[in-house]
Amino acid sequence: MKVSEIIYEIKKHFDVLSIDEKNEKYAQIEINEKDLRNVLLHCKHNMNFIHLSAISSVDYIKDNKFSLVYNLFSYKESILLGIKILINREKAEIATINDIYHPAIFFERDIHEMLGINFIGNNHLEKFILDEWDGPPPMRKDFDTLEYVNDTFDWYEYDPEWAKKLGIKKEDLAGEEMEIL
Amino acid sequence: MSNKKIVDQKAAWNHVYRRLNKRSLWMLHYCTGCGAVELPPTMTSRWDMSRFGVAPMVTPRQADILLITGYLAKKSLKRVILTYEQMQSPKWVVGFGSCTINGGMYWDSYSTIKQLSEYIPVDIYIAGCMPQPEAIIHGFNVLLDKINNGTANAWKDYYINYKKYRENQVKVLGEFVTNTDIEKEARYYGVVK
Amino acid sequence: MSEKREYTLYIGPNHPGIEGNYALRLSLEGDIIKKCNTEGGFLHRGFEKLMEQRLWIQNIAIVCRICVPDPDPNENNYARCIEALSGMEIPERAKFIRSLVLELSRIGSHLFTLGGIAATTGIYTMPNWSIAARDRILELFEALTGGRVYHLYTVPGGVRRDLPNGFKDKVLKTMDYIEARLPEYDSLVFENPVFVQRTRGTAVISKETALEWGVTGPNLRACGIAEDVRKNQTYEAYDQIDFNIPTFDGGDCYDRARIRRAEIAESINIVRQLINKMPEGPVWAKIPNPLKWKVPAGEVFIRTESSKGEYGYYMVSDGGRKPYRVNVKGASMTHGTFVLENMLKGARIEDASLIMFSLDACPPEIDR
Repeated sequence: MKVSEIIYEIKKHFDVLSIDEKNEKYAQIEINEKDLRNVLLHCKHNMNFIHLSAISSVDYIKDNKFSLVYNLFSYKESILLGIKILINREKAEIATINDIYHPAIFFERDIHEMLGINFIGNNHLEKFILDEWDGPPPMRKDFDTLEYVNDTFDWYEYDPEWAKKLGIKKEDLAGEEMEIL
Repeated sequence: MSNKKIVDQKAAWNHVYRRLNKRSLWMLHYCTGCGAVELPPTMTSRWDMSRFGVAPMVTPRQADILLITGYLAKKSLKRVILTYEQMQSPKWVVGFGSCTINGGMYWDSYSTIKQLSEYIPVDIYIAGCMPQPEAIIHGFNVLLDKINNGTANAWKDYYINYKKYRENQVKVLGEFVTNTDIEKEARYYGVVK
Repeated sequence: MSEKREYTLYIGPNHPGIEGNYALRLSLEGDIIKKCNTEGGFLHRGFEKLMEQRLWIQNIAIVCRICVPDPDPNENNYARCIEALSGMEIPERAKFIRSLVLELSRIGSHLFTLGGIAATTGIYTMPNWSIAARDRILELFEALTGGRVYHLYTVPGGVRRDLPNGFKDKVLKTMDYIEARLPEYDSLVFENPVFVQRTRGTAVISKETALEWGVTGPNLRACGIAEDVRKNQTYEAYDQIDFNIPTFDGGDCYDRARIRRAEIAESINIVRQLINKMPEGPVWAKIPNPLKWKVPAGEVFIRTESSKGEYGYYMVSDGGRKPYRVNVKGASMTHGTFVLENMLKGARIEDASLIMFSLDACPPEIDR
């Protein structure tokens, strides 16, 4: 079976906003946010996509949206299908899918602490990695990690003897931002 | 005449004590970072660290050497400080890899610390990313020579400058409680009057 | 009249029974574990944020450090993502060399894990043997790439340099050496009645549960399901090699240990075929100036079979000099968190360490 046949099946029942077919066995489609649960139920029960490989998240700060891509794999046909939705960045929340695919319990917990998206209905959203961190969600594009590092930590003073003998000041030894041509 | 004999005996005993001490060191088995993957080859039969008298030990209360293998996330740093304070003096800290010197490859990460010597005193550093087992053994031999000469005394610096270390630790981690009475230990070891 | 009381035990990061730097918070009633919560984050470096701030070519240096015992699937995934986005074709010889590197890394990682599993049951000779055998493979890597553990060798467009002189003979000799050691491991570990008694029937995962929980890799093949990314979405030179996928159908700790030994034998067979069938030719396709390279815009999801399971990278490019987003999904993200928590419910406290090592949960992949 080819992935184009799968997409044709999905188009019969739901709106498909865009299709990106990479080869015969891998494609990524974009659907509406409200159709997500129904599309995933249809894929799992009617089309053999029993394996959720990953939920990937991207921050599109210029368009004011977050995007979530649910990568499903079918062992029977060896087809990989990526289902993409866009959600609002200001009020970032979406219904959970952990009753459809069990691995989403951990993937949604991870996205919640890294990007701040709320998954309604998931009761396991406590922090896993960042439980001693009280700053903003770090994977958002408006968190500047270099500024945070320069504020919080000090650097090692590099003042070697050979430079003093040559009369080189230690400020000139420290690496500056190299202008990439 | 009798006073001179006692002074000589004490120096002789210290000499013997240091020679025996350097040949029976227990290393704490705590894999803090990615450099820890080169420790099993060093400890097992191919490179065989135990011929120098260095063997792994599971509890910090009975260990002599704390080996910080690589970077330290902030969450890990708190546990390392608690572990360091649980160890009995004299104790030695070995900084392993370039991440302990100035941040290494993760210099712009919001989650790792940049200089280990701001938080606990370090005796020697082993350079590399990551160091090969031959470099580890060479580093340990340098540490053993320093112990033999009596110059590996960075543990005393923790008691003398405790205020500065504590200030650096609290700046990064926030207020946290340690169950060790540093002032009492400093007086016990004769480092501070 | 005795009252049963529950107490909490914290097996913290500084513990030899935990694989890596990870913590378990257990709720016990006597000897039996009632509930388990895993706590991670001790190894967090923020890789995904760091990768957004470096050029495409600079990321090769840090991407291999995401998984410590088995770093090559990371480099392979990263290179294949860039090649898929820019439509690059790599030379045939490069595909064979990349597969060779992946297989050698797989053998090394399985030897490391077998040593760990045996050590938790008290057979301390096995780590000494298997880590010494793994050292021979690290010597091969040092001759080929210059580094024992982190190679920086698989780059977008091919591999960095060709095989040195006499390398093929060295590889074949090392494979003969490891193959001769496998019967010794059998008689020490796999036919040892103490090991069999402890691992047989411990922490069983059934086929349906494995598929529902998203278990992948050797753990899935030990439950009886023959799925492998090298066969179901083949990549590199695997479509030109003849190999089987071993499976067992117990789903317990014993089968999870046995599957890794069977995969070492299968990988040795693959390495011999790769060496004999390798074509001549260039090894690195032409790439633009690395300092000014702009990968075309797009998004792609690439999967690889690492020694722990299925490893996925999702890469987004906006046509600039640095990646816009790289999302890493480690193979242990499911094994080390809720699969481990579910497996430990109802198990004995003495087997907690054994179950964690048999699932081969690698904390750096979870924390990134």
